[in-house]
Amino acid sequence: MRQKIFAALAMASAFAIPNVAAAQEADFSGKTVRIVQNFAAGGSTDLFARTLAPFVAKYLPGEPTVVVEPRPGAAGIQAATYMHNSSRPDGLEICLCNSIPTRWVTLKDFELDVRDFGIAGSQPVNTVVLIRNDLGVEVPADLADTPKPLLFSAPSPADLNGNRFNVFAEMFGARSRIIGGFGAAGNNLQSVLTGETTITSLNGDYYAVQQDSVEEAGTVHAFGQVGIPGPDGFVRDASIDAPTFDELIREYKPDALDTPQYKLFSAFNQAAAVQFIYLLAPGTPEAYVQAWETALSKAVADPEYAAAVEQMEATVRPFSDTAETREKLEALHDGFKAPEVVEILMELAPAYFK
Amino acid sequence: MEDIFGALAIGLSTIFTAKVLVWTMVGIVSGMFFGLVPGLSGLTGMGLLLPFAIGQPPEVAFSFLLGMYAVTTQTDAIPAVLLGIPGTSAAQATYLDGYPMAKRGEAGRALSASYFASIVGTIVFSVIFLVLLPVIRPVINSFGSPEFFMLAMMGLVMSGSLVGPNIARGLMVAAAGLLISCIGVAGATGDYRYTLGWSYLEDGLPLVPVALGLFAVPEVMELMASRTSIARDFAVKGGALEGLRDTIRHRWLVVRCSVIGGVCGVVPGLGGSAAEWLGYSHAVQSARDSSQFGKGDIRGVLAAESATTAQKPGAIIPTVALGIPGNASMAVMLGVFLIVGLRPGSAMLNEQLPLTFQMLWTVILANIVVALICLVLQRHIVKLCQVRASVIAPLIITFMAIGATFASNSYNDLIAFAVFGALGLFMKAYDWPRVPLLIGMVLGQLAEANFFISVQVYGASWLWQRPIVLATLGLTLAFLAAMVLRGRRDRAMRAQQAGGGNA
Repeated sequence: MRQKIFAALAMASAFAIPNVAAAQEADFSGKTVRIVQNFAAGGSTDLFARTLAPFVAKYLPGEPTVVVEPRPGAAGIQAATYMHNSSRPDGLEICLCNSIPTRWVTLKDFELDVRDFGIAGSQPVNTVVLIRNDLGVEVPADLADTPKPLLFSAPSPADLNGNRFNVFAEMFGARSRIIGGFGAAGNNLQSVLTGETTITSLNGDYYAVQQDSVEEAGTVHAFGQVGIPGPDGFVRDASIDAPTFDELIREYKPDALDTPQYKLFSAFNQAAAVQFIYLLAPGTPEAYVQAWETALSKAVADPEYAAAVEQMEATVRPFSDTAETREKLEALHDGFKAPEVVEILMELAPAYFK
Repeated sequence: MEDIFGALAIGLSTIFTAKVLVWTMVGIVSGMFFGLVPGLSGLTGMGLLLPFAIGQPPEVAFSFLLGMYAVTTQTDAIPAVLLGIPGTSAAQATYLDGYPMAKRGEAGRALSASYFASIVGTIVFSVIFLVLLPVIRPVINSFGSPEFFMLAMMGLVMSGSLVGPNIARGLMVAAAGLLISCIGVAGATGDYRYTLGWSYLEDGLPLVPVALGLFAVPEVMELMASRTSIARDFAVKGGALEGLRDTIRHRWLVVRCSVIGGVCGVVPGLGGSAAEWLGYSHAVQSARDSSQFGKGDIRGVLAAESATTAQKPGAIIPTVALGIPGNASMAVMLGVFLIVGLRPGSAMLNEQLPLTFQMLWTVILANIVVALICLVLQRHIVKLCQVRASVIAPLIITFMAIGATFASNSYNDLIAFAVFGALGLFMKAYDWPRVPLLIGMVLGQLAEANFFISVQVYGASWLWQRPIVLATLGLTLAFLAAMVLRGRRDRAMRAQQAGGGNA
């Protein structure tokens, strides 16, 4: 009997420990915290993390030292796996995991459930699609009748932007083909400028700086952008002179809004809305998740951060808190896993099922 | 023309203003560090130093980062030559002949030759820069996937000169390198190949742990077994003047390799590793007597270093003029444009031309400054070759392990390092050539991706409809024919010598 009581007490105390931890105040005084980012040093994710890091340090309780650590590998999955399996749930490491929500819903063998992590928030990534002028595409309907095939240059056939465009083109009766293998920096853009391919996409921030040289080439134009998610759907980034794809569908193909294609298209947009997600190790006490959520949201709202981003001719990406991010993840999951959507996806993006 | 000379003068005077000069020097010193430490590179440096460029005026930000970027390929030769640690992908060919020279007590000569070759490489490319300036867009636009594929094939054929006396073994190893380059997700189809279900392999095997294992592990093991120093019983010489004399003696080789490297830089997507191996292969291919390559031939060091160094300013051109980054470091440079509020494009070749030339001057200045610093310190640095194995070997192993994992912070890199270390030991012990494995890995990825793109986009017509493809194919066949003829000549000579010996 005494043994049973002892075991019950032990179990009760074991369950009580996380609650105690959750109730305690998060304090990072004198500590070094790490923002792990999942792509190579010097890339756009790294640049983003390094710009944000000093502002996060300012708003974390105790103003710790914040360092950025690149942990690339397996198209970004390596860092998520590390956070899931090896990072301690002590709040001292957070992953700015680029594209992980997309991999979660599109890769057949993705072993992690993003919803298991401590989620401190997310930010969107805008994308601009460039089309060659000699295709003569002014409005989406023109995509169905072009003098050259629609060839979308991308790093891989599983590319999010290429497949989103495929779904979009399909709604207008056109079929584009992703030409994968443009891995090196700048090769996507060069391929479309030289006419080797006819369509490609660029990260919105980078398009802002490349806009002049792209226009000078006189061979391509910005056809559309994903846009920035807002309460009423995706809105244009004002610095990019192109409509959002959602606008184009609503204007030129309103009857497509109830189709499974549009559901899949929206799911791709949801993926863009949470593309930069902030993940803590599963089991991280709630107090630490909240501390990160607050610090990130304050950092993004900091006027000095806005000035730094503005100086880069980029736009401050809106921050979605934990609850909003979880909501978007559910929408993303439901969007991609609906049977009618899976059927279309298998046809348009077979690379996801390999 | 006057405008160009005016812009050149303004660019030159700007780099000598106090603030720009101080920041350039800070960049140079940082770059020396990023080159010296195995596993770090110009790309890592760019990423880490970028925040310090925020808030700076354009002339300071660019000088600071380019000062750092320009010199990493100069100082990475130091661990490669002195300790046999090719810690960056750009130092792998330098190591091949530099380290055997260090073993002979000629580390100083190898290093100073590498510095002078770097300077020549940068200056030669600067001249090319001026020539290419008005026609840069058509030059870059004339290279597509079929041209990349043919260049990779030419590199693979040229690397046939590096297989050593046993051609069958060399070809088998090169084929293994090509197979290893297939590991990971296939760009063309999205298929997972040879990943063994291990997510680490999905991006392919990283080059640095593989090269460190393959080349450095056998050397350090041999060093430990020998219980001597790297330079064994040889007297270690400074060798600065010898290096200069070597550079002058082989000036045309250095110029040719600088042009090869510069072109590899200008054409986005070829990269530093391809530049270095193409330059090195060209040196072997064009040498009358290539028997000493890989055993400490100074021409190997000169070719590799001039090609790698010229590739760097080459990569600046498409980034600045067209907004197309020539390599990953230049993609970060686009970030610098963002930070300083400039945009690449024709403005950089017109109203901002002085700034463009300032970038070029910064690269030249940085190369000269680092060469001078290293030459001054050389007499002391080369003494590392005289340190006892029991002291230096543990340090080398530590540096190698750190270097192998720097890029991804993953223990998996240590596994790759250990596996290729064991393979390197085996290959060295049984006299299998290791270089073709690495070249197969480097050029295999380039060749495969561009072959599939070419076929998907052009069908088969790219084989006969593109002049550069045809010209490269012609050159490749010429190299092949030269190799066959040389092989026959060597066999005949050996037979003649054997016959003479018997008689």
